[in-house]
Amino acid sequence: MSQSLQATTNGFLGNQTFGITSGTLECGTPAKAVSNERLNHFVRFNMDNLAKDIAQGRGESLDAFAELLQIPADQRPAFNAKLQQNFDKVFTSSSVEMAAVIDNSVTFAN
Amino acid sequence: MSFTGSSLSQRAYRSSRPVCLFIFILVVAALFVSAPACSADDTAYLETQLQRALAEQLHRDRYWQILLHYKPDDATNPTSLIDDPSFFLSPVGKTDPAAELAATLRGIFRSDVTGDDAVACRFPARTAWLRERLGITPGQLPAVACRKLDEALATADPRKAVLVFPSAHINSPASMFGHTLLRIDNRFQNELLAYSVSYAAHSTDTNGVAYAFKGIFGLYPGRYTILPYYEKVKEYNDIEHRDVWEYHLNLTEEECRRMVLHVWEVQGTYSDYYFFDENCSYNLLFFLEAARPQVRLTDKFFYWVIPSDTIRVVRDAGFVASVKYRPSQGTRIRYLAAQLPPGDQQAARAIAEIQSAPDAAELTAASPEQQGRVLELAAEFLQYRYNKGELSKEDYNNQFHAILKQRSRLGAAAGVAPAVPVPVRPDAGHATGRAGLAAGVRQGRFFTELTGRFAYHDIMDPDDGYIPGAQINFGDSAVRYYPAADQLQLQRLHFIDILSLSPRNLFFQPLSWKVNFGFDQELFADGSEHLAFRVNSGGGMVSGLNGAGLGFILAETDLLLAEKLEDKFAIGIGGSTGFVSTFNHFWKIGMKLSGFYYPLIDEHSRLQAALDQNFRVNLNNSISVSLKGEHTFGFDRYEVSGGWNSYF
Repeated sequence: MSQSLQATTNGFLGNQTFGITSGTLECGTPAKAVSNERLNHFVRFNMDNLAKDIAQGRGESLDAFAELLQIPADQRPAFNAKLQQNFDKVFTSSSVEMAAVIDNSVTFAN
Repeated sequence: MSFTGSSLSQRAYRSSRPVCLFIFILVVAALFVSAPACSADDTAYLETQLQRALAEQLHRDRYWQILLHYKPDDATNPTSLIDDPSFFLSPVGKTDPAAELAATLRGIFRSDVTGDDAVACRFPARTAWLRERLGITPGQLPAVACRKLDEALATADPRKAVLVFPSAHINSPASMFGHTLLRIDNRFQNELLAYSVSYAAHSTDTNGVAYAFKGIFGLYPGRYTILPYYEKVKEYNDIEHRDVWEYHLNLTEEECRRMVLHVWEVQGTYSDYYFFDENCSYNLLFFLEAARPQVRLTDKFFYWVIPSDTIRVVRDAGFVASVKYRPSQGTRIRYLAAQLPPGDQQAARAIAEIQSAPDAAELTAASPEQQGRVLELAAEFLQYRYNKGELSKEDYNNQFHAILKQRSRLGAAAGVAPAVPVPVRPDAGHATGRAGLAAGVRQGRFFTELTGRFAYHDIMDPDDGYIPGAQINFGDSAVRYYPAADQLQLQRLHFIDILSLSPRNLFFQPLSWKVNFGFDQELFADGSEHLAFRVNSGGGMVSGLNGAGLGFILAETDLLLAEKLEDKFAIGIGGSTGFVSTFNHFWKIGMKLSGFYYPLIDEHSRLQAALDQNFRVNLNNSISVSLKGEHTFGFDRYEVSGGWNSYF
């Protein structure tokens, strides 16, 4: 019952930036965050929806991200707001990679 | 060693060390020597348990039937629906529950395999049940370490379960009726972080016809796959644009655990996938039975299994605690767009089509709330376009990043989470079979009529629980009796009658289409009516009529085969136009005009007009009233009829 990674059927793949529709590609491991395969896979697979949620300051992908980062529930509104205010520091460019997104987010977790 | 009375104790004392050593050796020797003796005991114990299992007819027990997927479970010749030989420990296990049970029992007593391949690790649900039924304690079994199973259980961490129903997707034959999968909820609060278990035909065919053919005849191996739920949500909501319904089940943690143990047994094995009966939805019912064996689900079906019907069965068996709706990206875009004035819709579309920048002056002049809504819609529509392959990854990445950067500057206050209205639940719609009784007058002749169909939803049936504009009829038929002439005739028999009306708007321009083939009574050159075989298909456009219903215009072709035609066939070209509207969920009106010209042999034309109405009486009953006029081969025919329909 491991996370068997199965490509979706639509057939377009890129590297681990925006526009990923399958989680089959490996990539760099974030330095600051505790090595967490679940977190990495989630962000790799949900980069676009996570970015959208962070820009809007709300959403289910953002909630899941915060939970995986073990942000206590009472600190989530502040965390969400900080990420939103610092969107371009988290998603530094249109080709930002998964590991950087996690690392950049973690700096706003405290 | 010699003994003299007086020195015995002393000698004994002095030799205590060697004696201890001796006893140690004896014990060790006894262990080795008694190993076969123990094994003999074990063999005797195993034989006793085998006899007990046979005496108690455990192989006929309901739970054994569930775990091995035996069907029919009360007959003398049960056969497992699982086709993979690796699922059985006995070579005759597929058809012999007793042999399989004996082989399983022997397997869990084997001491030569102790790792992940041990029977207890490979088939933990069977093992747990046999141990419980036969009162076998862990000490009586060889010790095994199930590393992979333990890891899997720790990862799945089952707490709750959800039956997930991605709704129908009429433009894909594989998911015409929807699909079902299971979600196993864990310690995470967020549902995306749960795991899903789904059963699907393993296919690389992209050709719908090949898929349908192979699927119907069981030519694909069906397999279970376990994936993070967010992958499934992305697949259904964002890529296939299917709304998802989540039926939260009231299973206890213990029941969930039992279910997951059985999932473990079945995952990785294959079964031939039959589109109509042994499909995704049917096979998942075994998991629910494994969780709660006192409930019968898998014997509620006969020839076909429609996913929404399995939801009803699960609901009626008392499994459902609550229901949640997860709108697709397509639904979200339609909703977000409908909340905006036309100018803002245009602005969002222009941004998503990279014709204007997200920080263009005309947009930044608007209020932050308005900007927020436009940018959120633009981001969704841009994702939609990218998923459809309408722009390059680079263009997508740049524009997506720019939109979101602009949106983030507006802060949280700009815009609220879209609250897409929740439609009627799929299980709250009418049942999929239909039978009816009607009476009417055709050109002055009174008639009565029996109607029926196997499945699934007609354009004139009440829409609650279904996708408006999506008609799928299988076996729609009518037998008509004219008492004055004592004439009984087959009025129609449509094998398949599909009509897909999807409205177009600023963001979506889907093609609407229809295909229908079967027999109809037709009017011929001499004014008589006879049965003709028809293949009718077409495509066109649909308007949402600003929410008032669906207005359509379709170009069509019509092939007729009939004895009465001069060359036994005729090909017509033409089309139809009309609208369908529902008022207050109970009154539906459909109006249609159609015209065909058959230019080749047997040149003629046919014009038809119909006004249909359907009144919902309650969930599974409705009244229909119909007016028809026709002008064919120069003859006019008028017909009025009314009847009662029951859904079953």
